[in-house]
Amino acid sequence: MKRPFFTLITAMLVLATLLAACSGGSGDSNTGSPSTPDAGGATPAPIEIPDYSEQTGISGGEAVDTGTGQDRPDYWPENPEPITFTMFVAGRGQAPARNNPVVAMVEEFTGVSIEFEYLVGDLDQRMGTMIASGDYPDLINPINGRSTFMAEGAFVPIQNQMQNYDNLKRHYEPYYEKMFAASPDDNIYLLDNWDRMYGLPIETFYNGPAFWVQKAVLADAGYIMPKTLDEFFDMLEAYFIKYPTIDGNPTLPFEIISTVNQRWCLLNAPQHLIGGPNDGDVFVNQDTLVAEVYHDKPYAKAYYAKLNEAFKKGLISPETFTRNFDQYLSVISSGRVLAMFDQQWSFENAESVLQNDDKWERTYVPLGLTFEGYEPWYAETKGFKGGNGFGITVKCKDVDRALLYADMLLDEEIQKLMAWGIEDKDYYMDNGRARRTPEQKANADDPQHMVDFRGKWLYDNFPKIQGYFSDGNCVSLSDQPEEILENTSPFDKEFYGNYTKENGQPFATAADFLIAKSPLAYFPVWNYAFRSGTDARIALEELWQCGLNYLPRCIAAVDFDAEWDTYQAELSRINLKAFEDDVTEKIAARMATEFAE
Amino acid sequence: MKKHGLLYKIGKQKELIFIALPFFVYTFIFSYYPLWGWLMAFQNYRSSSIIKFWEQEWVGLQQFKTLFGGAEFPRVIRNTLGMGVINLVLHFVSAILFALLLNELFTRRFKRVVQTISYLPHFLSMIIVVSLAQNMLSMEDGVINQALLALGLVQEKVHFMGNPNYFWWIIGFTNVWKEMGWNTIIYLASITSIDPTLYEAADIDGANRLQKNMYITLPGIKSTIVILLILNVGWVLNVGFEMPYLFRNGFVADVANTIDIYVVEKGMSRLNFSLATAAGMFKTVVSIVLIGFCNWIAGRMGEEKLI
Repeated sequence: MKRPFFTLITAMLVLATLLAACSGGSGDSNTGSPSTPDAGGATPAPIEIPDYSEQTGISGGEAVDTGTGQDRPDYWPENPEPITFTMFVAGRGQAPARNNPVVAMVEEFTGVSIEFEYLVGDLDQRMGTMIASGDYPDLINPINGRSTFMAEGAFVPIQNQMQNYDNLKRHYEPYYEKMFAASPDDNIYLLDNWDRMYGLPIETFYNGPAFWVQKAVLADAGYIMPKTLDEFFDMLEAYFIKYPTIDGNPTLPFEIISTVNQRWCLLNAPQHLIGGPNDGDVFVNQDTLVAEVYHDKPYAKAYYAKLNEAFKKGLISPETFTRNFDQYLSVISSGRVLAMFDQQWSFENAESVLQNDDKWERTYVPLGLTFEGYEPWYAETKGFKGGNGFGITVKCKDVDRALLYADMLLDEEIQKLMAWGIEDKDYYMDNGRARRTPEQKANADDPQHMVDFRGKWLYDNFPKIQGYFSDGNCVSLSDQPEEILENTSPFDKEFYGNYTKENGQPFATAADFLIAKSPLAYFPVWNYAFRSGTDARIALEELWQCGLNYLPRCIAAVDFDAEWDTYQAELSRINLKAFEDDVTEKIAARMATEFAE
Repeated sequence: MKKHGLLYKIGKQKELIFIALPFFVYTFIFSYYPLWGWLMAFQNYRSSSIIKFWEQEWVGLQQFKTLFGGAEFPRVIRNTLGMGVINLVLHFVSAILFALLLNELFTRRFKRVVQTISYLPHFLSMIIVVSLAQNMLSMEDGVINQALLALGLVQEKVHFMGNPNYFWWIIGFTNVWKEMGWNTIIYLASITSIDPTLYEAADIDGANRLQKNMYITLPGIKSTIVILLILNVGWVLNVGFEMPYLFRNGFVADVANTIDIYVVEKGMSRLNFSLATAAGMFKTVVSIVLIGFCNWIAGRMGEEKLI
């Protein structure tokens, strides 16, 4: 099946390039013709990319050169020798089923099979045992453990070897500086799995940090859009008074999970309230590029004082601090949590329960709250991060083979196989547009189906093309404007219709509630590596522990100021200066490499 | 009596020695051989594929100074002892009382059923036990809060999990719930070995049930109690890692961390292996001292000694 498909891509690439001129720019200009084509069929040319910006505010698509439309490199083996790599993934997940057809096809093509070990329990402990024993698998996708693994020398530097692989080289070349800067010692250890975008930015999807609030609350308040913390809590309070119970159980207006693995929910909001992007544990002054820990600052105190006030009004249940993550997801999926500060990818499983139950009014949209007089900056335009990927460990049995594997995976046909599935089974082609029937869509939302029949769990852990394929289809089929039109539930359609963008178009997705701004080159601080045992690293860990221990008591305190002073006294024992200085230095280093080009 | 040499004795007991050999090897491999790792407590050990163990930096007693210099470790010791003692006392009182009660049951069948049900929780994993306890203590729909409210014992719901004063007791009673039935087995076995004629004599003398328990049953199992006490005192610092770890949260962090949690956090999470080893060493030494002390007390009380 490979070859005919292959020629088709080449043909489409040529055509699509010709058409790119007339469709590519439509996302930028909102002065497009007022025609309203209906989904899929209104355009005459077979693969012309339809323009949906009128209805959705989203550009229809863009044909881009992902570089893999041409001949496959001659160093790729025709009949590769089978090899098995073991891989540790530092996050929750599930290995693909044994007889998964997509994974089998990838294995046949590359000769490589991957044996996954997903994280169970606490990441720090699993990492600690791995590092103490030196017993690494062949590959690691370290996620939040990236800085520890890198600093402890778990990975082999690959900047030289990766030059031998055309796809890897082309895929990463524009971002080498960021990849070097992600390591503590100026090497490339990790090949980014995410955010290597091709084509125009797609902003139909947001799953980062925000004050996530139920649509029902906004609707009940008359489709308002709170901008400040005060307005936000007033709105929650009004709703809570009106509806003290939801489906017979007590309403939980604001939840704060405070476990170490979800620590941002408790700790990270203050930086956003004064207009900072998501840098993690510091606020970075965007002019001076000096980093500061915010937990000893007045604006942090103002935030937690507000939470204390809310606690006293009963808007925050004391039990929120004693819930574990599963209990947290369980209360969210019961539909009675009105709002929380969190990152959507963390609670998305609970939200999909609500969607499956058809409780669309209980699903969430992000709000970018600030204190009076600040400009919100929650969403950043998608861009390459550096260090957000997998690495090859010092114990890997064949480093070259692992690189070859990543190189072969970047083949566009394989990418489509993993992103879309098998044609006519998981999607179908309609005039050059990849589409899905409702059943195929439902399958894609079914976790078990993904394990049994799809490439998701392989795809997630390796480098990938994101944005658009060379034929102008979106890599993520749910980003296809045709699908967005179809997918939006009737409730959502009406709900979003009540909001309008600056340009007068109605909202189309939850992502429209935030305005993405593009960050500076240093961004984001949360992926910086700090060597264990250094003052900076110790300070950071103590900062987390201190916050997790004392902030719940501050929020629940009868006498907030007294508890806050205790917290500050504990904080003052930590060498925060060492951490701040280290971050500031690293920021300067990243900026310097950027401007040197 | 004629004296024999060591070799003769070994020759005579060769079968017994042979049988004991696997246990000796097992103990050596898993309990004694790893002790060389304690050397790490006198180093500033950094995990690395380049630096060999013997080439690590030696710092003498520096780690112990750090350990006892900070406010954290003394607090951790206090928590461990607090929970340990509560656990020990509740363990003994509950198991002995329950054994005595079970022993008073006449119908064998009913006794069996009660006993089996009571020791089933022993086989549940800790995470399940903790989740069950958390649900029962929950403010929202927890059975205990509802019962307290219904009985009028409290005016408003109690936030059990968020109050540091309750934490050690929650651990203690959850342990009782999980282990009580299991712990009674050995006492029940010990009770059956008491000479029945003693009870008959007591009946003739007109002793009531309480008196029989006080003057026959309890003295009859005294030596079992003492041996178990000595054994358990050695474990008093092992209040366990799992239960407090799973129960703890920001409200109770000050009273929840035990030595074991401290060791895991410092060693495995923050990769400070040397400090963790020092803490572990300290715990072992204290445990040995405690066992020795109890053994000595037992000897003074005229009971059988363990060592």
